[in-house]
Amino acid sequence: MITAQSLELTYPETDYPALADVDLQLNAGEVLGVVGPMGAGKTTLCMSLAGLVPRTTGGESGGDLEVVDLDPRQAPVSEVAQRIGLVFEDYASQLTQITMLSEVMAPMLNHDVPVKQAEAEARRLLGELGLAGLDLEHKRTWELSGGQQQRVAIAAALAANPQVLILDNITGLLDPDGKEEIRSLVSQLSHRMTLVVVEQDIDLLVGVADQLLMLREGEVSALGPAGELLRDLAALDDAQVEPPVVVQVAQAAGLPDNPLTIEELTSAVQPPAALDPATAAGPESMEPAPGVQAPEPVDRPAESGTRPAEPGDRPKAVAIDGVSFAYKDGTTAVQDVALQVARGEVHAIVGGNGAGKSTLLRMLCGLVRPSSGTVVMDGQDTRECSPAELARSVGTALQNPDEQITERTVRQEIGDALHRRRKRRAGWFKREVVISDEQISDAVDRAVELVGLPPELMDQDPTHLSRGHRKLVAIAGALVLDPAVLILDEPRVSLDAPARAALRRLLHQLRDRGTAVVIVEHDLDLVAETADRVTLLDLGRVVASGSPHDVFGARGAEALAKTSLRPPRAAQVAAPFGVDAITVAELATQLYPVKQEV
Amino acid sequence: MRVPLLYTEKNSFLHRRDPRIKLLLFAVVIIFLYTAPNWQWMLAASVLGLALSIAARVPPLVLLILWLLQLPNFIGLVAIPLGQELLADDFTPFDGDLTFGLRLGLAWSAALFLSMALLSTMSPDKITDGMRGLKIPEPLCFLVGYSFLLMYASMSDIFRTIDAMKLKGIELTIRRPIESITNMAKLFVPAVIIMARRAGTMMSTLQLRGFSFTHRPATTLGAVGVADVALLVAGVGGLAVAALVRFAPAVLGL
Repeated sequence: MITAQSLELTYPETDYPALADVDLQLNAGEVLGVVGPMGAGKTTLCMSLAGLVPRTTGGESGGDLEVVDLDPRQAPVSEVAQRIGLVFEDYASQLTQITMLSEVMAPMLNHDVPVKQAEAEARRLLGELGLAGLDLEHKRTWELSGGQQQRVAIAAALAANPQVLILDNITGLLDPDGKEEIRSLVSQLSHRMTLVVVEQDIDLLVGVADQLLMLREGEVSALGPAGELLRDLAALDDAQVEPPVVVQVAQAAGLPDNPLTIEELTSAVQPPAALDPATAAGPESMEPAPGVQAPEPVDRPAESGTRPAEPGDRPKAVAIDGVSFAYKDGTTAVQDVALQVARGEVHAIVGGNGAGKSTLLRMLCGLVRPSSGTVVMDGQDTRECSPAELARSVGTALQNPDEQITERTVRQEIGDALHRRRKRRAGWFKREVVISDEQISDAVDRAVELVGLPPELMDQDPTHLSRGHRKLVAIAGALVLDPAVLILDEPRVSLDAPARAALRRLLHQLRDRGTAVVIVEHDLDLVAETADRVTLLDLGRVVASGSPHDVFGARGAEALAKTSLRPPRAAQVAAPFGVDAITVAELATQLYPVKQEV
Repeated sequence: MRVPLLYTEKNSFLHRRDPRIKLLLFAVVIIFLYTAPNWQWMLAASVLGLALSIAARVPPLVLLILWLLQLPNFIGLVAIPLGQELLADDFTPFDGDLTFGLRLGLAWSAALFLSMALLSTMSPDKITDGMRGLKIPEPLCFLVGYSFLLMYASMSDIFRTIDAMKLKGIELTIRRPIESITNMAKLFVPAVIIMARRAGTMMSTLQLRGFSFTHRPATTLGAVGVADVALLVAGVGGLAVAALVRFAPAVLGL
């Protein structure tokens, strides 16, 4: 169904290939998972398979390529469109119609499907993707949340009934339920079409992908059966990809083999309750295998498994009291929310798509004033200052970094907030320098080091960087003023494994520096590993709050089950063993390898 | 912040009319603006347009803001020449025919109110379907529909970018107008970059969704009703009478 031999692509005005010497073969009905770090060439591969590069981007392509019996680079667009579908990572830019229903009907109408049939099929597809509850005929596409836009784009791609469907990193903005729906959808689709699935979340490929392609710097670093490569630590490490969570648990627990699924893990380990001295290897064998790095320990102020230390007498950097917000049409987005964040605390606000997280975030940074209640950030009531004034002590990195980038180099962009405050008025016609160039340079260097941005990027145009790097630039820009409060909106989206590790380190360092950090996130793995406290929102209300264990562990299971969130992956792996663990490190300390019979 | 839309989602008499009829009436309005015999006709059209806009349930505040935006035209065409005529006897704008300026000035108001009454009662999908129903070439229909989408999507981007700029510490508030106007330039880079990024993905998406720009059926059209026909007849009749009043004397040598 897909054959590539020595496939190459070089974009215009670059002297290095974005793809080089790519060989792959995929049979009908197979699922190819594609992983790799930022800038590895994953999107370029997707666009090549769909015939969009070099057709729409320019550049030169070499080698042989055949997808559904045609070379998509040469074939007429109309033929390609009938055989190949592609869903992009950029969710907003792939919506071409005004309303949800017309968006999904459009590809069918373009292929002469009768109107009534197209409408019925569009409604079915949107329902299948969990959007049936919305006003499909009138809801405008640009008013949808990122997760909803992504689902509409998937439905529109499916509407054309392609033989090959390419999904380019499409789950980043979906909540856990949404991700699981996509995983289930991919499983169903694999019976009737060939799929290429690019994913940062490698766990979504477990049990779904038949083959795995690892890319690095435009070249194939590994290609083979997914069941083998997903547990091949050396190959995963070479492609800078985090292993699936079960593999991480197995490694941390010192298992000699790498089970990939919970079922495989079940037969290899047992929890302490089931520990039988005759069959268990015991704690002495829990050292990780040679050459394997155990997960970073969770470094929180209090031991996991019990409540973490209350913020107590630490000064509060964020105080939200009885906050509600309703839109002009009467829709209530947030209702009676109260929470506090102390200095040196990492506080996660979690919830599914539409839980009210974004509205609460906009209230925290002063963009929206509450209908009732108060939001006090670093001692400033958000009703009494502008967002720009608040930005002096509250740094914010938004979900989409492109909305914040204005400068021509990475260095200038990160230092922008300081440059604008470099001088202050000292009389009618006089301004004095209050921040020197050296101070700005030092602050920029510190911020860059904190976020782990490669120094060689400093003189590059930030708009030309990969999305993950642009995100790190935005976070560094928010940190350069050394804010008392840092707000991060979905920080993990678009980041590869090294950048995610850098993000975890950053959060630990900020805690040590006494910065209050508020993360708005639906990736509960990151939250479980890094947050001190969690507030769980559903339909605009706080349904649970406390330590990650309170919310994600056994105690919070009931509240969590009512939302569209699922426990962190480690907790899901732990559940069959009856172990209350929410991170890989915790789980690994509670599972013991079963002694092998000799 | 929600993007302001041209379409008002209500269920008025005008909303229920067939989009083909409303598009034809829109063409009639444009011809009328060049045909109306004098400023009294234009004033009548303005009043009719205002009444229809109110009947179409366009928010009065929106009408007022839009009218105020074109007020400088009215002042430039009518008030300034009129004032100069009163103050300086030897100044004769429009060759001494100030009613021409008045007709032109009122034409802006008539165009505004009548357009709002017709276009605000059609969603972009209905406008493009109406165009398809009138057998207008598909590329033009697509262009109109896509322009609406791009306009609204770009406005949505700009609103989000304004918020992001505020979070970078850039003042963009009415409280500090001069600083805010200076800072508007900061919006340029992110807005252009977002739109440029959007363009590439949009082009790719359009290709893969099979947009051929040659043929596309209308999805929202029903049968033309009696009320639709009556409305069209009234509009065409009004235009015919205006044309007669204006051109008949010259043609007939009266």
